[in-house]
Amino acid sequence: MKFTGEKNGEASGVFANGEAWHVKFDANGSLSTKDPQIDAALLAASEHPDSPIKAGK
Amino acid sequence: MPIVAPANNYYLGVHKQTNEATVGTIGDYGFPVYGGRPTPVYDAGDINVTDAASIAGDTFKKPSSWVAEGITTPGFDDGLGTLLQAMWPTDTPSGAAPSRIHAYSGLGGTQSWISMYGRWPAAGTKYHTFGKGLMTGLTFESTQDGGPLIVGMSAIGQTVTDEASTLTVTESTSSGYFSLQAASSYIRGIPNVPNAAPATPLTNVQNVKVELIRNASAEPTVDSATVSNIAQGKLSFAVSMEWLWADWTVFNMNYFGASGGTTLSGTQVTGALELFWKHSVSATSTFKLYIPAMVFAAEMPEPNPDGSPLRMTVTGRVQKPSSGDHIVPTLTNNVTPAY
Repeated sequence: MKFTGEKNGEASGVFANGEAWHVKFDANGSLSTKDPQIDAALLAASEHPDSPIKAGK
Repeated sequence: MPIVAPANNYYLGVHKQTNEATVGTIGDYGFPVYGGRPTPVYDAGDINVTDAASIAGDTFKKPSSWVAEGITTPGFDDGLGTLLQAMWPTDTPSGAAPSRIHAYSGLGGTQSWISMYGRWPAAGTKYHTFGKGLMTGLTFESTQDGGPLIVGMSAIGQTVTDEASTLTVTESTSSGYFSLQAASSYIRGIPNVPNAAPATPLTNVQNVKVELIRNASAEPTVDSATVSNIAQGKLSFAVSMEWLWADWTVFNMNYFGASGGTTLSGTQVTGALELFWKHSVSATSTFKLYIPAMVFAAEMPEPNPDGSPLRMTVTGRVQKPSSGDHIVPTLTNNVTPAY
């Protein structure tokens, strides 16, 4: 999935197996992932009213 | 040399582990506590058999884990992030320090593993590491007495070791804390409009407590004296507020379904609550808790001949919001890294 966020921004969390994950947005504030676990986490994060993340197509 | 060691020299270290296996030896933050500590669970069982020669059963050692219940500490603007990420594992920060906005999400999903460090610098300089833990509860409480936001935490975990550890940041109330009585802090709420940040100030609240419990249990196995499995359960929430009575609006909206209602509402009325703490020292540090969907269950006030103020207890029943988490925290502080 594609997401937009803060330029050079970041997000981090935890996978279902307990491992930590960390992603960075590029200088244009975009991020493309192919990991369904990260997709799900970023989608959930985009629903936070103060989150800079928006889900793209 | 004192004969009796004082109990007031204790710090609780908390660290986010990168995975379950890596416990770590450095506490990200060290908190002075109002009370509470992690402690090992090491119960014994009795072997009761029909041995006529024995007047009491022998005992055996049960599997060991650790538990931390009811630890309370002031709400510090930097260290609070470590506690929040243990319950809301995803952090999507934005902005720049000192106004770095940490938007936490993922409540109810897989949590971060944490380590806790019980630090007794004056009691034999003893440091205990409580590893492979999960946060099982967080509470946020402010009262009319003022002072710091009181943050409570509970956790359970697998391993306890006696080993050296250090703290990266040692918290101190002299550096400031979150307070609901600081200028520009607020409680806002509306009992009948859910899923939108409320704009109406609630002016007569005397105390408020928001509690999250993530039920979890240590699950020993038949072939090990240490616990290596923790079962995560569902979440439960409890919000309680004590109000000075001002008018019947909240009671009417909750019971009758409208501020001018006169008969029992056939449906459950849901609203929204937002708590906003400001920092006692740093003008840029803030902490917001937003509950998008909550029933304001107002209890009818009690009459009392002693002339005391009319009070109302409001119990918040947190509901599933239209989107996102049931309780939504936003921490703005001077900490750049995402947890």
